Amino acid sequence: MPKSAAELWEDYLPRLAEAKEQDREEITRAFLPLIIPLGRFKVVPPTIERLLWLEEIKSPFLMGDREPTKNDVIAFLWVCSPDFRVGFDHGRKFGRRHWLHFSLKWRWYANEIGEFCVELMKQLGADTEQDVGPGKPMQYDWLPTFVDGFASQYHWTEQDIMNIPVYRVGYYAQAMMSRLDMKGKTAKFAPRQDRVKKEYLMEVNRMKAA
Amino acid sequence: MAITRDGTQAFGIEDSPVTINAVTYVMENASFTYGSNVPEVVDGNGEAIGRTIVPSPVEGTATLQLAASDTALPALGNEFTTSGDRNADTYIITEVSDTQSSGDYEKVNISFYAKLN
Repeated sequence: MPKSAAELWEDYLPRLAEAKEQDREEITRAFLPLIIPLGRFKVVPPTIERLLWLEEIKSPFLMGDREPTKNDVIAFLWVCSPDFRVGFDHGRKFGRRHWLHFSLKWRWYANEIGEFCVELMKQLGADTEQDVGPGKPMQYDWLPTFVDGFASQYHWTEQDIMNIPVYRVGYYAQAMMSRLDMKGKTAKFAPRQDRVKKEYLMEVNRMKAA
Repeated sequence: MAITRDGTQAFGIEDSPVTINAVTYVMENASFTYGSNVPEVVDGNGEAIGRTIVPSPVEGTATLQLAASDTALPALGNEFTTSGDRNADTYIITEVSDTQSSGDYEKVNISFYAKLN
């Protein structure tokens, strides 16, 4: 006998509880000062500024538009290094210092960085099923909007804002919108819980269509 | 307009499915307000000497998660029924706000009040 929508929901409740816990853990991790080992190197979760540098150098790990080269690997590891400093010479020294190691293992690093970036994008709310077509254009002015929002609400300096790990930006933005939203019109999003609910709704639709 | 009953979920819990006009949504952050009108009887000096509390229809707001971006939005005047121990009633939608999305997920806010009869 087919299940009703409410009976199916009962089946999904344990998964929803698990997803809720995962969302909570993800928020906790976003606020910890993590340094992630990657081979013989260490990387930090990208900040807004580091993300902009990666965008500026058109890193394929961020853009996803071409296969990465050895130089792309070096550039990514330098920009995400805890020792990163702005300046072409600093980056060149980093590359020279590890040239032999990179020559031998850059493909392995390219795969690891690729996985790191996929995970990063997932945590930023991107989903493999995400519709990024013309109906959902990315806002071109997201950066000044964020800087303006954080500066006016929290009185942080521009540099403080640029140094926020991107993991946290969405959480702050959501908290800020909820606080400022006097009429309660802002929907709250929780990636893992929302995914379970979406799967439930798709399953209900399949049941109805059957 | 047809009323669709959907299971025995108890409202007051955090999330719950609800069927509106034959479309199933997940309802989140539902809030119900039990308000009243309080007419006053005043004396010749305008001071209150008596009040009566007249319950007004239960009003509420909620967020609905949609299955997909092409899922039909609930329309003004649509009805939905909730079951369970608390807030079990039939409600009429009075406001539907813009759809908000994050990644692959779509949500919409609604306001409603309890149907009188």
